[in-house]
Amino acid sequence: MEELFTPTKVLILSGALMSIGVYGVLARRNLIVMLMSLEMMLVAVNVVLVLFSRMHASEGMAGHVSQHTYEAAFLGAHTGQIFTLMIMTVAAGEVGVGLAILVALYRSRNSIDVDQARELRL
Amino acid sequence: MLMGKAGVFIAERSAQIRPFAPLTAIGPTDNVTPLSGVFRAHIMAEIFVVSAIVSVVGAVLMVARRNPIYGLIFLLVSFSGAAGVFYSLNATFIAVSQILVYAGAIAVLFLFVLMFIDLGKKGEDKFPARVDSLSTYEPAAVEEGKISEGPRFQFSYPAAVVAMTVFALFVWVAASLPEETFDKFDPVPIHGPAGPIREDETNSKSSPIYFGSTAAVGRAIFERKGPFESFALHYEVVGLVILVGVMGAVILGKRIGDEQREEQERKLKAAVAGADGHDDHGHDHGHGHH
Amino acid sequence: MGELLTSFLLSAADTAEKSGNVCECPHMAKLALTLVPLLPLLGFVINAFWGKKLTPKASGTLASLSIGAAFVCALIVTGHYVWYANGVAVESYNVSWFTSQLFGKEFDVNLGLRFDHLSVVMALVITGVGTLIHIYSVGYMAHDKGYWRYFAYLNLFCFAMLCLALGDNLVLLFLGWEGVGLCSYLLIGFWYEDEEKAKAGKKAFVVNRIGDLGFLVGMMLLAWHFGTLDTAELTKSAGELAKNTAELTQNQWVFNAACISLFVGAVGKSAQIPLYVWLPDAMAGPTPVSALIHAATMVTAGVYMVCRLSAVYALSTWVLPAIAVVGAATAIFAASIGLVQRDIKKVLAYSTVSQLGYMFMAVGLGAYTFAVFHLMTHAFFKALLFLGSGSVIHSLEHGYGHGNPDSQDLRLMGGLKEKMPVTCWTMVIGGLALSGVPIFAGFFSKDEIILSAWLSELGVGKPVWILGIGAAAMTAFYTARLIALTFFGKFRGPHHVWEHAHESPRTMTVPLVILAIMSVVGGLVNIPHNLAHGADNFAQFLSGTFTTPSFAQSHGEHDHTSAEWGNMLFSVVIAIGMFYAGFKYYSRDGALSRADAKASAGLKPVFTTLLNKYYVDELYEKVIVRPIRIGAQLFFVFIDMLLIDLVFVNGSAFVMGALSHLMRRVQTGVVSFYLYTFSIGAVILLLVLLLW
Repeated sequence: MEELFTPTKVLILSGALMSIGVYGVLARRNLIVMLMSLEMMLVAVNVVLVLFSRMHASEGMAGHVSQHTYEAAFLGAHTGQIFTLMIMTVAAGEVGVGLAILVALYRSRNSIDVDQARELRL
Repeated sequence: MLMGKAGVFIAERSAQIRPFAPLTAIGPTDNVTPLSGVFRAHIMAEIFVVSAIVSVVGAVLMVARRNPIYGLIFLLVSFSGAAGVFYSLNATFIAVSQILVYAGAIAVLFLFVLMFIDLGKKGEDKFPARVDSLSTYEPAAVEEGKISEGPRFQFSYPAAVVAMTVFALFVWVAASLPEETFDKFDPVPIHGPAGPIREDETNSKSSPIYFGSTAAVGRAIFERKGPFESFALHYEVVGLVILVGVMGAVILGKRIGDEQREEQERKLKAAVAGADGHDDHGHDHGHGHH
Repeated sequence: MGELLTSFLLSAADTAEKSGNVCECPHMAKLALTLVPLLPLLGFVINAFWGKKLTPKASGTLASLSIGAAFVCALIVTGHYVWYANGVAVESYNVSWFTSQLFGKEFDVNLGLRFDHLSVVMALVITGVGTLIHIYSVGYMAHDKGYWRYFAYLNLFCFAMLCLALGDNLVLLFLGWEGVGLCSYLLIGFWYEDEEKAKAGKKAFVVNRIGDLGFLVGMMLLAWHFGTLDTAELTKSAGELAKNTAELTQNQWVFNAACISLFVGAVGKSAQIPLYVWLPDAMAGPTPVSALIHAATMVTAGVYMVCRLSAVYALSTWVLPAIAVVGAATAIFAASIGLVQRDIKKVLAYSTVSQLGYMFMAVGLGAYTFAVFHLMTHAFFKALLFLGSGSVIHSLEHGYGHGNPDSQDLRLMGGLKEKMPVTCWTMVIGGLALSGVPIFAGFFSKDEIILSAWLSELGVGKPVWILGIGAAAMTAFYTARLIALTFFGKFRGPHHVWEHAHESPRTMTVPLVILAIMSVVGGLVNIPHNLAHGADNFAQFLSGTFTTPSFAQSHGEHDHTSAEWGNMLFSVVIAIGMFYAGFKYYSRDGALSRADAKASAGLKPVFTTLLNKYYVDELYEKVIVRPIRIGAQLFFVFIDMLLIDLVFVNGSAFVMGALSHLMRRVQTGVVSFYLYTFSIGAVILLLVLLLW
């Protein structure tokens, strides 16, 4: 099973999650499910970032002579994880606003079918 | 396969295993005898495969189920799987955050909203999938019941084509990555030239930190790391962003009472009328002899 | 308030000490110098933004106070400079304006003021005469609707003029130069509802632009060669260069080109041939404006600028003689036109052009001190004459109505001595000063200029002397004609106008009297030394300021006493004789009609040519203005209307409109459509990125 645990396979997992999210956003017209699919896509991105952080930690840390540069490389390898954290935070805000819009939409037209809301045109 | 190898090691070393931290540590540390690299790589590989399958299956079901409640439950399953993937990639802190933030907060938020809005008796999404998304869609047809609720799962070919293209792109990029498994990358050394990296770099007695642990991520965020800037400011800004998001959500979600709305409309009308009625008389700047 | 000021001064002193400023000027003097231009600016700002809410009197008082305070400040600086500074120029607080690279060298321009010998004269004349004219204007403009606009412009003018006169570099000088040009335009076209007047303003502006181009070219040449535009540094490097003959001859063309370019600027601003045409038309503005801008201060800016750059002019070869010739030609040319003009202000305008010609004559002969001396005395008596004529016009306008050109027509005046004695006698003093009758100011200054021409070693010296003497004779004649026609004889206008005529209010007569006193005593600062030995104080005061060109340096070595006496007697005889003749001829009744008849009989061609100002305006109209107009019309039709309007503006609007008409079809309002296009677009973008 070890041969499944390669960077390539992790990236393929991420692609699978991403394409499922894309499919959900495109195919579904229920706004809640669309938002959920959006979250799925964000998670796919997070997987990629964590993967690269991990690769960075493995590859960039050999051959350091001074403790200081070693430590810098060690901490710097966390950058991908930090980005993941920020994406999570922004995603939380995005879901909050998105759901508030959803509620407002539901109030105004008693439906959350996005295809019914088509006034936004010239 | 999993049980075969792991069972032996667990039997041998069970007394020395600490639940989380030692798994990320390779090589000798001060007070913990870690698992061997080979064993660690195996167990991580098992965790990854299981989590990945759980995550993908959950995601597929989330998209496929027409009832959003079920969809939400499968979303939770998928998020948990993703957390497992994070864990297998040594990102302990991120894995826990994934559970806390997504499964804990965001999913519950979705649930609240689902409860809040009434989606009919069966709580089902009564709209079929966008099979032919670019064609015109008649909401009236659904209202009148002309479009049946249809099967539980309806496939949309155009969406699938786009999604598969995206997947193909990922596979393409993935093919360029190194093919070594993560045990070839290993070990992630935690020993620098002058010993392990510690929670407090000035104190040699403080405990060593592991890649992806809370302490390491914390130091990575708030410390300047050689050529890398500290992320403290970015972190603060993200806090502001989420604050603004919360405020926006509050404003959007506020229910305006009928009286209040009428008053607002009246004010708006008055303002528009005032702007039209105001006549700007040009002042006479004229001079000179007559 | 006082404490605040004290603490401010102390802290300023502290910072100056810390920064190691070597100038020993006390901060009182520095502050006063800085305030000299800033006070009128303050007055301008207040009048421009809140003037409409003030009463005419408050507005005028404010403006007069601000320029009066500037006068006091100028007096303070002068006092410090004359008694304590030991000839070291007072410099204001200096701020860097901009810094740049010019031909590989550092090129710094500062915002700073410098107060030296020349500035003493300029600053006192500008603020002193300016104050009197502001006070006069309070009475003159009392009934005008645009009083606040008028005073705002007037204060702005004073600010710009003081920048011009006190600025320590040519860039600041140019700022003032353009500023006074702008204010001149604004004030000539002050009554812009009258199209003729608006056009006169436009003409002044456009003609001045030609000169300004020359000024700019000259400035750039200087900056290119010297790497600085600070006047003191220019003087210093020019002085060093004068000793280096090799380099001087090698770069001779640069100095000649720079000097002649700068002189073109001066020609435009100071109304010399061929760019004098705007000044007579500029009389369309209110009369105090003519007195301040078009007689006393702005038009002398060209003279001032050449004097300021005397060191640079000393490096040139043929430019100074050319200036002398242009000045002398202008002097006699304008004086001859002035002989027959029928508009009281036009006569004075041509007289101004003529007197400016004298100043340039002196400059060209290297007699800078006498140019500045004449500049000063001219400021007094010509301002006096203009203000007097304004008083007459103001009085007659009660009968004719405001803006009626009849109120300026000499043929409809006469005998006003009885109605307005103060105006009459002050104007007589001004007239005598202008004619160069002894004791009065103009005598001393003009006599010195004519003497310089006689003594000059230049080849052009003698011809210039002849032209100068001729112009002096004409000046005395037309001045006497002006005064006689205005104040003596019988009134020739309608009866009701005579009834309404009256002496002007106190605000107008007091400045007249003060200026009359100055016109008498103003010349006494420089009594030539053949009259009182060693008394030419003014010339001695200024002598160190200027770099005398080589051809004028041997002046002091010979004893010219006999030439001085001869010259003086000759010019006095001519001045008094011509003045007497003119006065006698024109003060008799019906003199004007007789003169016209006689002229039409024998001298008709000459007379009409003079009356029509040598047809110069008509010539310019045919040769310059009309071709430019036709060219502009062509450009308007083909470039502006066809190319820019039709093709660029409307064309781009049409293309955009057509494109957006296509693009609006994309805005379907269907969310799924947006989602599909978005994702497909993203996929395509990624593909492009990967395949690149």
